[in-house]
Amino acid sequence: MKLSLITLVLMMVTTSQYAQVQPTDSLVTPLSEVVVTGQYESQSLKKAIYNVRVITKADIKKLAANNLGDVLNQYLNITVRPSGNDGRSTVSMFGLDGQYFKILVDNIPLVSDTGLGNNIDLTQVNLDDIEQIEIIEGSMGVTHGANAVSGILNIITKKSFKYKWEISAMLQEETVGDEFALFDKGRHIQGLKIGHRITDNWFASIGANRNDLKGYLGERKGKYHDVNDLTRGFAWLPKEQLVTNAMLNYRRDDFRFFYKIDYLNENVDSYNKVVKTTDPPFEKKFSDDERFLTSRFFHHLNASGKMFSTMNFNVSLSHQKQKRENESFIYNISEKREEDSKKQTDQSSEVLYSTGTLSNLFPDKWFDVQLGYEAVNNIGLSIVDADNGTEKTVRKRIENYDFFVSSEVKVNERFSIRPGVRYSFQSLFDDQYAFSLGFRQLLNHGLELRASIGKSYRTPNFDELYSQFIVPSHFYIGNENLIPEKSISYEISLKKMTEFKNSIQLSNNLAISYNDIKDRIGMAVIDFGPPMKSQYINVEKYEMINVANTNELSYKNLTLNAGISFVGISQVLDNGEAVSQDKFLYTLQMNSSVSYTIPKWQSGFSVYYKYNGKQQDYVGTFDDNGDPTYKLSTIEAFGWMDASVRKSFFKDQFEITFGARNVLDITNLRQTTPNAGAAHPTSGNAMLGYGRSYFLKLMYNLNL
Amino acid sequence: MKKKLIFLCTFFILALIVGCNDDDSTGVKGNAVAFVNSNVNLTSEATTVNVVFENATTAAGTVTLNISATNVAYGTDFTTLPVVTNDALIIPFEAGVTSASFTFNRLTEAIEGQQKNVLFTITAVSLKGVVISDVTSSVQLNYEENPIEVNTIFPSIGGANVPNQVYVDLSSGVETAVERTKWDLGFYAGAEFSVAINGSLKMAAKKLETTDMSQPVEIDETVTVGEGGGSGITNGNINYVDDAAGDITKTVIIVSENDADNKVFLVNLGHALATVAPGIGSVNPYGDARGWRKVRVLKNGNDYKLQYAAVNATTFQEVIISKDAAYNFTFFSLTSNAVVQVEPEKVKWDINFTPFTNGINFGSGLVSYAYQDFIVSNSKGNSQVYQVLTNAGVSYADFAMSNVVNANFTPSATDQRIIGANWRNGGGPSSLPSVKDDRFYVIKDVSSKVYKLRLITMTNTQGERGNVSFEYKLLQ
Repeated sequence: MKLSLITLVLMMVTTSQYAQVQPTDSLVTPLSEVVVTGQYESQSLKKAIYNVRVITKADIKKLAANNLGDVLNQYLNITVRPSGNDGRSTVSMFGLDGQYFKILVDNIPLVSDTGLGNNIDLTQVNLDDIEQIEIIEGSMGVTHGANAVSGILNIITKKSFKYKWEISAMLQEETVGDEFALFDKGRHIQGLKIGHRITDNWFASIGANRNDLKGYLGERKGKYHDVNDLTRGFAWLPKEQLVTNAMLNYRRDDFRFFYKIDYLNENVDSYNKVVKTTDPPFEKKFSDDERFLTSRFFHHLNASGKMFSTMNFNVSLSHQKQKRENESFIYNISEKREEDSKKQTDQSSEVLYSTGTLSNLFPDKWFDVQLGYEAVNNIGLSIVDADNGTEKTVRKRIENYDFFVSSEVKVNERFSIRPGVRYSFQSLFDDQYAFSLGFRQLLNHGLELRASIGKSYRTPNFDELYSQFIVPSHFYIGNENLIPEKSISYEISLKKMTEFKNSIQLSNNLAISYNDIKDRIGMAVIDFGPPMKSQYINVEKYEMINVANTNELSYKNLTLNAGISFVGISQVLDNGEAVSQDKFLYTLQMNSSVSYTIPKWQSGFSVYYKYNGKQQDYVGTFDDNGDPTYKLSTIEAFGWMDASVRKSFFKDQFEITFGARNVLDITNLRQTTPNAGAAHPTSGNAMLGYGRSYFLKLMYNLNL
Repeated sequence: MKKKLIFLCTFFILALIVGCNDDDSTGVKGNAVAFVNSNVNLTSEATTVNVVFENATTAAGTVTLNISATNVAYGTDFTTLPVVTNDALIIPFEAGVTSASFTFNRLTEAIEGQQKNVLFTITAVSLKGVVISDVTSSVQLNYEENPIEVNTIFPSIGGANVPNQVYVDLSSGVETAVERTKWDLGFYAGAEFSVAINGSLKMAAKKLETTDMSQPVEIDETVTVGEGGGSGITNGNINYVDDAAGDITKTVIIVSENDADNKVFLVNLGHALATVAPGIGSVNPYGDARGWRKVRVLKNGNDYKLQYAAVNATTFQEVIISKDAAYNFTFFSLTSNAVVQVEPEKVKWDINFTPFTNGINFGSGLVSYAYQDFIVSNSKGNSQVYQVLTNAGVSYADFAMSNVVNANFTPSATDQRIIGANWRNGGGPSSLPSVKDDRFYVIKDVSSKVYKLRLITMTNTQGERGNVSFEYKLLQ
């Protein structure tokens, strides 16, 4: 790790950054935001055809979020699913997991262990140099290609420096539940960012951030516990991350160019709860432990500007590589020694990616056309289950070459239409296509009406394609003949912006959306045997309807937010033995936040609260006669609250934030699961977090 | 420029913080050699004495033992194999083994009132890197029978296919291993007339309506031990197996005074021993099905009269089986058609390592379910036991006679499963079973000697199941 760090430092000697968006450092969120996602050019939210939701830098700051999961916890319609077992946090949106949701950085899909853009571990997305986060819900296949099914999230990184030098150092100490100690417990974060305006045209920046989670013990007793009562190890695995990045940026007139490199190094320690003993009379205590080492390189080269004096071009080239290694070893607890260590790469993706657009082909016309391409060359490696409890390595090159065209027709100042299509040449699957149609109508009284239809698809993952879990009594295999799942989504939204005389600003948004996925992949029995055989097949269906209302009010130093969403999901689950009912199951979510600043004291406070209603799912089980069936499983409702107080000193040079995450101290959710053959359902627990934690963040900003 | 330097320094400090987080050493496994016990009573003419390695040996070599004899002489009172040369015994071992051994041949008997013993001490190992353990680097072999104060036993279960039931007598340290398929029926030797079926093979039996052994009977596939999961009594009807607690009045086959009440039983003979080794860490005790029989048991004075035949036979065989008060049961094999020796005398064993058919509730009532590494206590022979959890306050090391609570023994008089499967974690899809070492057991044997006993391992160094070890200490 030391070596790679030094290499990085050397690499960072000349680096920089560029800005398209004005920084919003103020403590109050402005209502007139500028967005870039899904647009031809960055433009105001009002002009955007898509209903773009924005999470501002101020929000991130108020939450003292140390990763993307902390932020999305407060986002309506998204549930963050953390796992203490592997330390990952993934997105669940409208009941669809992270495989259906695409995460991009500066419009480039981010590589993950198992793919590109989807199934991202939110804890691996650092928020240090983020300007704002833009989210578009619904199927965005035309603009963003495969796996943009439930929605997309685009992270816009910070690109402008007002001063010649902008240096900030950050220190954050956080309890993990009620556990904290300066070195051995809790979460410890250190960060450093340096931005430099070399000339008016050249910008450079470097940054480093270390996030050291020492794990959460809870009922467990740690690494050195040597009694086999299944309490060794951690309830929440220790994880250490180091993120370093650098940027070099040039802009002159209409021409812009930037290069960005981002490096992530992560170490997750997994401790076996079972303590074993060597034969007497030696009786040494040992455990079979594992360690997961992840590294990720992200390179992004972007150029944009004007061609033939009027045409806008924007081209990106990106090389990304993420690799996860699994190091297994025997931990000799008696002698505190790691023995017989074995290391293997269990997942990796190496991606060569390029995308480009050409727009403003017909200047001064009432319509605009955008042409674009996206080329993806991904060499994936994954270890999947194989015969007789063994594992096998699958290595595949997956390529797709996509072309898309869309047009924005401004019928008049108020009404715009945007049709688009994408055609994707796929190496592994049949060619795919996507289409979209968007409308925007500005009405009187500050009302904005938007409607959109979008189509997208999700490509099967390696497990679904190639896994082969075959042991004497079990037979579960992947399927190389799977076809991508297809989705089509509709959204209609109405937004109203109101400005009152006494500087009250009010924004209301009402959206209704519908998403339909066909050919969903599920594990189903294909042969009743014996032995019974199951395989992944395109067999299931999914439909979702969502009504959401969000409101924001700002008055002087006060900002209030309130939102409510009602989601109904109907699924046809089919495991080959039984088929679930397609009844719509509804979930209610509400969020709200209050922020208040006191400029005189250079301080402010904020409280965020989100209510996640009772959630129901059908689960495959057996009825009282032992016949396969689907029954409802219920996860109880819970609230999630975050709160913080901030104060600045010495003209904003020094800033302290103190707060609490998960104020309501939610740890486990009661989950009733229908038990096989039992007359009454049993209750289990779904671990949601490690409970209320407190943080103290110190920030030092130096602008020269 | 000065600013740049400041930033670089800060960065390197940060890098240093990141760099210093290694707190453990790494390396390869070491190795050590030792005897299992430090004191062993010679109970037979030839005794095999093991020298054990902590980990498998990396190469072949030798272990050198020094010999010190008390009141005995090499050649007249004992010999060894390999033979002693120059007062040293050199034992060879192969690469990849975890034990080496020598044989001690006792040529003379113990003499009342005289201490006769031989002390073997490990003095050297030819293999580099093997440490001579200071725990038990020597073993004393006693001619006279000294009371056992501490003893470690690796019962001869026979590995992951669990071929044997092993009976252990704590006071003498004697273990008796019996191949599980040796017997099918156990005829109770006490006052009651009850017949046990061999639960270690997953046998099951069902009472039929008829008393006529000359009529063929139908096979009923539901007469079997359950497989777990699923639902209802169809998966392991508890009435088809003997009472798991060991209540002799609740076996499937109860013999009545009145012959007309002694019905024919359909008997599922369960499973033969498996011959295929399971994966590392798994256990595979059940091989091919052994088929079906019909049996009828009658009283014959104070003896049993057993009638048995194939299910479709119209004739049957008959045999008289006597009770022997020294034993819990008289055992009979339907394969060899003969009375067979299985259990030691009822006062000469305390615990039995065996696969076992238990009764368990998965949520919809009691069903039969097989356990592969069960420990049964000799409740019929009046060995008593209770379990102690270390979180109750006293550790195994500190547990003394004064800590014994006699009332706690009571449940074991009527339930042979006090140790049962409680000594190990059952394992699951992602974890293999393991010994729970937050507990130990207190055992009072038939002569009221009290021992504390703890299970140590259930696999060998290679991780193979069916390799149990335990230690017990006499409480005084």
